[in-house]
Amino acid sequence: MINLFQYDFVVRGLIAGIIIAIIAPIIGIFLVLRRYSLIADTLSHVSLAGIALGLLLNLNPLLTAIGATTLSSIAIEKLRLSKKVYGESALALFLSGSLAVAVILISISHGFNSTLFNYLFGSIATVTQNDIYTVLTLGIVVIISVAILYKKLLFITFDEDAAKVDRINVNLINTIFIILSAITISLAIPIIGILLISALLIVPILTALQFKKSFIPTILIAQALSIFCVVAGVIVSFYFDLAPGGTIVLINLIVFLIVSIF
Amino acid sequence: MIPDHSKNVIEVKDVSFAYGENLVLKDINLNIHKGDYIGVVGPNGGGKTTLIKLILNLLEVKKGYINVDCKNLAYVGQKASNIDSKFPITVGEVVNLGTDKHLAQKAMGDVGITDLKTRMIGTLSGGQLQKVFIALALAQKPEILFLDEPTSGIDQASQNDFYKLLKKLNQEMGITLVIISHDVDVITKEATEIAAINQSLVFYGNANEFVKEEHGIKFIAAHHHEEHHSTEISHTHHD
Repeated sequence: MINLFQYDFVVRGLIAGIIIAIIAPIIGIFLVLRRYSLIADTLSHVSLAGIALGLLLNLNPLLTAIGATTLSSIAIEKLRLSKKVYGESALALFLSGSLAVAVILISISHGFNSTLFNYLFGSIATVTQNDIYTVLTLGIVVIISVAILYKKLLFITFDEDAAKVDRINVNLINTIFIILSAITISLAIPIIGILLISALLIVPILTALQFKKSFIPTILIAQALSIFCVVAGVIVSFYFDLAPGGTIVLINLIVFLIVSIF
Repeated sequence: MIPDHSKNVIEVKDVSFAYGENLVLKDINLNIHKGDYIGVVGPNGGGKTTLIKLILNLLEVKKGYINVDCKNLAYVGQKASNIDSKFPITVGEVVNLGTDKHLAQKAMGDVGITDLKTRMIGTLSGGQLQKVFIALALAQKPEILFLDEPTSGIDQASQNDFYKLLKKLNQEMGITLVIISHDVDVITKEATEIAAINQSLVFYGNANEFVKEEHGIKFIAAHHHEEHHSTEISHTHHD
């Protein structure tokens, strides 16, 4: 049997995957409990437009994706607060709008089909050494930011009105949080692919919630499960020549099923 | 602590409020004094919660003005009756949300829930949950505590216990209380002042006076009718 660790791209994919598996539940738990799960899907579609732009202009697609998702996340939050449209409608506007932009950018450039395919469905082969540095740096930024805002974020998530009365700047913290979500989603793209990202943020948390532990233990359980699923997914996909993104998500779903049955 | 009842802590002046075209509050004028224990009563959709949310700055005052002259407010919304039982958090973590460990510990002691500290909130009864929310509010050292329908979904024994706790907060700790309640009979006995709101402020004064007043009779009569109705409904839910 071939030793998969002799391939640098597999090792890079695993490292990036493990970092994502650690960050995603930290953001995912707040998304799930605040009924914001759909934001992950919306921002992943926005990131497709960002990636298409990056590929077209020959810039680092990960960075253009982060730029696009960050700007859009701020715009979504502003639109939601303005109450001009319903919360989910704001998401729908951005989801379809960004997909339209992405499709047009792709049609302009004719070329980059195979690269784009990798970004859509995820491929550990797309993870470069630079990507690892970016994922690691921004991952640390996300962890430190959430650690600093942890109590306030938890208060807002638990009871937004009571948090407002306690003079917590809810709008500011919500905006910072949605930017952190945007960064996390963009970081996860090379591994899991645009179309499957939301699963990595949401499913491990849904599984961990079944254990009925308190907040931090729930995050830790989700991280452990997520690391297991990423590593297992990369190994299985390597030996059976499957798409790693889909494999990781399916393993996550199988674990969820097993845990919820027992 | 003897509160200075002459000190005005909240002044509501000529406040009207509408959701779109739908006028909910009209020309409300009301002063709340330090140490008051006010029961806010009125029919559903009469504007009780809207008024509290305006005072708390959760809704923007567009007509009239509201002046709040105190440092800390705390709010226990209708959350407790529809809490997400899957929310992964313990009692201790909840009370600690808006404060430090020391104040959280003291608040749990004041409310009498120290023994529940490590319990997950999803496992608590309605009465226990409501105490957790009171402790969370108390840990913020409020001068005024607002509660929206705090006894809905709580059994009779826990309700009595709960009102005893509120009396302690008001009389021993000097906290001003503003409580929205559908239970007109009970709140007129417990609170010292009653504010009856049905779009406009139809009564505001001593709770004893309210019972004797024409409006009070109407409210209590309406409440009895409502209670009878809700008993019928709850019967159909029993299995």
